[in-house]
Amino acid sequence: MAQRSIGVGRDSFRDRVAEHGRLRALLESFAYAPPFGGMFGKSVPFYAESYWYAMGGLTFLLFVFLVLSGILLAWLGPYWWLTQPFGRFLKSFHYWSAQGFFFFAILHAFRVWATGSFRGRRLLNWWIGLTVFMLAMGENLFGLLARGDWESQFVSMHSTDMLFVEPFFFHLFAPADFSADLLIHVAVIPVIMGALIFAHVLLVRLQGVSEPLGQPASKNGAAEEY
Amino acid sequence: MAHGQGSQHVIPVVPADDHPSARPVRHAFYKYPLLAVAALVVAVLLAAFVGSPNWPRETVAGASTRDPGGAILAFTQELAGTSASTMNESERGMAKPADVFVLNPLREAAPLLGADIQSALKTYDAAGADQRQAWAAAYEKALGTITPESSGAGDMGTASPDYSRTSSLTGDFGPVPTLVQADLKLAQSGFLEQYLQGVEPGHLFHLVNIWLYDHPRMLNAAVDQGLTDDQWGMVKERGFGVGSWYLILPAVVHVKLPNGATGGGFVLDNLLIAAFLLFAVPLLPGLRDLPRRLRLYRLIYRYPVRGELDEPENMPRAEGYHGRAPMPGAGI
Repeated sequence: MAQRSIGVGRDSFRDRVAEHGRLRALLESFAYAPPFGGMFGKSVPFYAESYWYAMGGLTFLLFVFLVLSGILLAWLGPYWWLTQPFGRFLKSFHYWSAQGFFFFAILHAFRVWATGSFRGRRLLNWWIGLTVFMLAMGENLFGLLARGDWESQFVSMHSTDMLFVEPFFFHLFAPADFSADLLIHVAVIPVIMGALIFAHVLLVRLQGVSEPLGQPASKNGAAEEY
Repeated sequence: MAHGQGSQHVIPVVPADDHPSARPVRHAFYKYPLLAVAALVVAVLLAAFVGSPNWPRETVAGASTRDPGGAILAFTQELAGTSASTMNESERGMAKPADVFVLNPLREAAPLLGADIQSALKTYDAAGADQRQAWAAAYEKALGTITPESSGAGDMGTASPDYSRTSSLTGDFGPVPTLVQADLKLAQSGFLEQYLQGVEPGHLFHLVNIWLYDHPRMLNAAVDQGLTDDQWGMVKERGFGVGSWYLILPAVVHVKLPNGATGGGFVLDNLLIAAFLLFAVPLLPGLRDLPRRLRLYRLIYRYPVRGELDEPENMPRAEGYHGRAPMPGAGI
């Protein structure tokens, strides 16, 4: 197959227009401009040019939505987010961002598992990712406890009944304590999650896209051409 | 992206060995701003038009006005040492519920409550611990005689005494009925909630929630709505269709697994599942080979349609992959 050399090793706008067209080249300019310019690798294997490989990125994007809306919610407080129209809107945005976070995180985890991307040294990142997911479930519980509506009141007491019937954390914490719940939801778990997500993304960048799975027949020929 | 010349040209070709093309191509970053905007728009629309769960908070005044019999029961049980709050007093790091919810608020408000209440408090304070306990226990038993058999909330809920019949009760109750009736007035007026928030200013709803759970109303409402953990409440919200569906694993552990309903069992079972996902799935021979055997990756990898690799956007690129991984064939 004839291979044209256009675009190879070059990232000028004109090269990108030649490859993706004007609109797409314009849309993707952010990836080649500061501050993103140095952050993104510019190539991926063809097989990874699939929306399945965008699920982790979407999960991260929704984490960003959650952090930004969460900062505003924490700033203005429960009476605002439960009663005022814009407060309720932002609380709902936070709620649906959390729904999206879990939705995309599960699709991402499925993609990683189904493509065997936990193999070899990537095992560490499999562990980090699952830890982030488990922390997110805990973060979800504390978010519910910190919400301040009926469900929040009931779950705080009901979870105490079930989970915390024995003195918990040396009496330092009880789910019935709204202030402790809010503090844990805002200032403890998300900080740990943020650090682990940073490590997760860093490892992805260091290790690159994982090699494709395939059947042993490939050893008998059918060589990849690129 | 295919130049459609018939359906065989737009269907990706999966080779017999499933291996997709690993040719390094320019990453289509243009998708990301579009995906980000789409995610933002969907979240904004859902937030604006669907909203989120927001069932109004229960208040001490609300619960004790709508169900005064339940409030009388709660105060009496707190004095008798049989309330839910007394059972879990130590892990909640609180003082005796009898003091926190009944006696201290009454003492605080005593100057405004009149001579009867002040005298009842004096009588109660002067009595020995056994006598106080006997009064409260006798009154709690008497309340049982005016409590309907069914709470309408199945076996889990607690029925409230019929408040209209409390004045008909007779027995050796000492000052207990006077005290709990006075505390009911404080609760209905909103004083008690303000008081409970004021004694723990750094922990706004702590004591309020604990008292509301002493009142039968909250758990009864949860049972009626199917919201307790045993009723898969972990994945549900009151008055809202979409709950925490992603907590289905812990919910299954709680409802279905042996010992999942106890605190220790719940934690242990969840840790076992976590260990399975962390270690068995990626490491256990057989299990770790499942992705290769199931071949679900064929739904995930992009396989070129005919002619697609000849298009400008799929020209091979010299530099390494996204990140710094070596090229395929050079190991993982």
